[in-house]
Amino acid sequence: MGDAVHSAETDHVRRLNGPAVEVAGLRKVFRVSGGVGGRRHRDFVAVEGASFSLEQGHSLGIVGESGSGKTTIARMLVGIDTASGGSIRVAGRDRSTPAKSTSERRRRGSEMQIVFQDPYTSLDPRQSINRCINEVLKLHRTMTENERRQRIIELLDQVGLTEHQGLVLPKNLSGGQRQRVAIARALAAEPAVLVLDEAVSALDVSIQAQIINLLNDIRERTNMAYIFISHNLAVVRQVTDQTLVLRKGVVVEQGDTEKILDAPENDYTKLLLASVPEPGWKPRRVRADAALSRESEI
Amino acid sequence: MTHLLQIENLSVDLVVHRRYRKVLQDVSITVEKAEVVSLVGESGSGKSMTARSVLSLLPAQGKMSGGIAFDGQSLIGASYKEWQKFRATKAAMIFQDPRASINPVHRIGDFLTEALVHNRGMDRHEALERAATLLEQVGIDDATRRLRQYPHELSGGMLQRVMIASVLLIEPQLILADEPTTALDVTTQADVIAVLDDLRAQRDMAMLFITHDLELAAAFSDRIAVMYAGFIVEVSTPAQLHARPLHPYTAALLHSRPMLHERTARLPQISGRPLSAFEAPPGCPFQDRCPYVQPRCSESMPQPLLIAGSIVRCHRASELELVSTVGAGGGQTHG
Amino acid sequence: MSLLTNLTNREDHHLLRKVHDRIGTGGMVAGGFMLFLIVAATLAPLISPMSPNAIDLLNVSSGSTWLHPLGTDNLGRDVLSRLLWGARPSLLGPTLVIGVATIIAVPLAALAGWSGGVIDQIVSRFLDLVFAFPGILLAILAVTLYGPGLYPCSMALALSYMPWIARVTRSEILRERNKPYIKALEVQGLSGFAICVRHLIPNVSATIWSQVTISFGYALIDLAALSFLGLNILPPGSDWGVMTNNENAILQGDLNQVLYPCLLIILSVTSVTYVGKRLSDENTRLLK
Repeated sequence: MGDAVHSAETDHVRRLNGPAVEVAGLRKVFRVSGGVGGRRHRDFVAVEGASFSLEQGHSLGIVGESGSGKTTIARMLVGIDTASGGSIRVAGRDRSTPAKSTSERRRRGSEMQIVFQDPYTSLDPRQSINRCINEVLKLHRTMTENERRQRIIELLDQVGLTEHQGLVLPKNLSGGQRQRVAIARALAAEPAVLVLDEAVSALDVSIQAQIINLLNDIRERTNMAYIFISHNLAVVRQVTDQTLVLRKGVVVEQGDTEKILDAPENDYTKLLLASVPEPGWKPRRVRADAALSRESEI
Repeated sequence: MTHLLQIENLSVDLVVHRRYRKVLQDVSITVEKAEVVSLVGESGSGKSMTARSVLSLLPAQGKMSGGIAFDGQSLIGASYKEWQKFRATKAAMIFQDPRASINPVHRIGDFLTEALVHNRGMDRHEALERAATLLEQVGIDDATRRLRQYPHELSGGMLQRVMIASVLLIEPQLILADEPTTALDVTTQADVIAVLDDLRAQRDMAMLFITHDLELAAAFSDRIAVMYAGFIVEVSTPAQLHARPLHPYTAALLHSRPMLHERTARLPQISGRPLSAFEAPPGCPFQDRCPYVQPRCSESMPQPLLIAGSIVRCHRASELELVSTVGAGGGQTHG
Repeated sequence: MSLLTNLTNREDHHLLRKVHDRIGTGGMVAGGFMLFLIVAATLAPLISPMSPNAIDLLNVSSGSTWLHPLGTDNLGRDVLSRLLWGARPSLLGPTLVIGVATIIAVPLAALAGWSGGVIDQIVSRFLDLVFAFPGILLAILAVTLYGPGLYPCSMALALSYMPWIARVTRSEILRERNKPYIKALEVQGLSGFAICVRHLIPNVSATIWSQVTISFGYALIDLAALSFLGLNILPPGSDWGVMTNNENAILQGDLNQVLYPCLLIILSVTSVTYVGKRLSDENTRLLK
């Protein structure tokens, strides 16, 4: 195993004319029940007016702390949550409203896929790896049994897994290997955009490096667009070329990743950067101007 | 000279699936008064289990051998009552998830004063006042209001501060902190670490700090012990560790983390995955992933060597010239 | 790779060994006992020493003899033969009850748990409504409408057991459906029906199983009680419940006639529940 990605993979991602993702004025309001018996409701704004667009082959980081709304954006993009306002276009097609038919859902599935954070709950524990990927191939593509088998081996190889590992149940794989399977399953649909929701956050440092390299390899080869959601700024620098910083549902800064991490303009972005431990880091210093975070906690 | 905490040749076996499995092997480490020692490692390295052993909080049927001494007194063979007393007065633990460690149906005030009122027979009002003072010390404003609130009304960062306050109430000489900030946001983490740092300075408290984050450990501790597969493979100061790591695993770990300030063309990665002690082959547990492996590595686990003030367990430690960072685009890629 | 070889080696084990690995010695004993009962009930016509209703007037209320290993009842009928024949409705009844209840409950629970919203509300209220009627009461109603017998009683009990299984299954499905692997399949565009049938229901099957086996035990007792009350199996037909209803024997202090059927009821309920629990525990463990 390792970083061996050596299949002469052809570019499976279809060519698009416009941007891969266009989001304008995205908004999500949750209704929270409060009071005794949950009779009274109040509205909680999780995301307010997020707009961005992402070209094919590019990678956009969405950065923020818990409660910033970054995962809510991911869920709206892939259709797990419905947006309360604003528009989402993926691969040139609108998906602001829920899919009306199964075929519409399937088509959206072939345009955008997602990889979640926790590798231990991302796979059906009863399904072998091969069957897992086979199911997706059957759903999206018309292939013969033989072609599918070939494609499964190809996909496993692409994410650095052996044919033999395709035969086992998820419980026989480590966290890093399971995350590779989740990536292979997403790739099986040959989407134009891949959403990675804290996809490397739960992994050990040495495994994290493997998966980051794998993701960069795949993007280079397939020209897929990434939406990379993370709280880890160092990882974001490694995987993305544009970044959007979210705080309490509001975009506080967006632009080139290099620029945001090297010369942040927003105070909150600066605070985030100053909070990352590194050699010579003194927590006391951060605490002195931590009024921002203190207030956000109450 | 007596150490505050001395762990010597500690080995622990636990029952997993009805079989005994090694989780710690030959672990030796000391913590001095007012010193912060970090245990750093990936999953399965045994870092948490080391801390739990110190408080005798092993799962049922766990087997432990070796020595643990606190302030010169051996804790091995202590009775349940003695352990309880030790935990109630000398050493305390802060866990990763404060929400799981605080009873959700009790008010913060009741949680904090329970031990004082019941174990020490302190007056309730006096205890509440103590608790309020401590909450202010750990950076919680409006402490009297917080004491009347329930855990679900507080954020994770707040609760972790309450946990720290509860530990301070017993005024321990040693705090064992098991990934206390891993579940928190970075800004909150910085804040909580600052609180711990202040307390250590003011109260001369020693700490055994467990984390997977090398940077965090480096920023906060006096010495760092790197663990792999149940062994401590290297003990060093943060500066020394970053300037010249001695164990290939430490070096690889330092290489493979992404950098905040520059993008690496390709992260140097360690092939394979971190092993648990029971999965490790005989000899050095890192041999299968090590770029410098030699035949003798599979023959025996190297004994601890003292090199330039650091302790390392590697056969080739004295001949290897390892560095902590690789320039953009450079470095070896193993795999 | 050592994990993989371990896995393949384990497949080679002998069947009994595999069963033992999953349910332990206690489970083997309990399971073996149930298997024995089922085989005995099936073969009752071949292996029972006498007809269950043959009256031996020379040996009334006798103890164990060579002719009647478990003695006779106060009418001179062979107790062993009656137990063997009685096993048939005693085991068939609860199987029917739980089988029908499960077949209705699981799709209903999946529909409610998966769809959520209004459909969930409607299904849940319906389940609450059925809950309100005690099983025995429904059975009495069924008996007044259709006359006494195994089928009316079983169907009435099936209806009353259905919400127990449905409610537990629904809450488990609600929990499971929020897991990332289900979300991933939704994002893929797999139909709700396929997700339920291929992923959700199999993954909550451990819970369904344990509920099914516990309910099986209760249903067996309920049916015996109905027989005891004279609503289910009527004399001269016989199941274990009918056999316990023998006030003559009890009044005469001749307890062993009543003891054997009671013992069988208790043992089979315990065995089924135990095996079910072990199976569902193992099921959960094996996938972790």
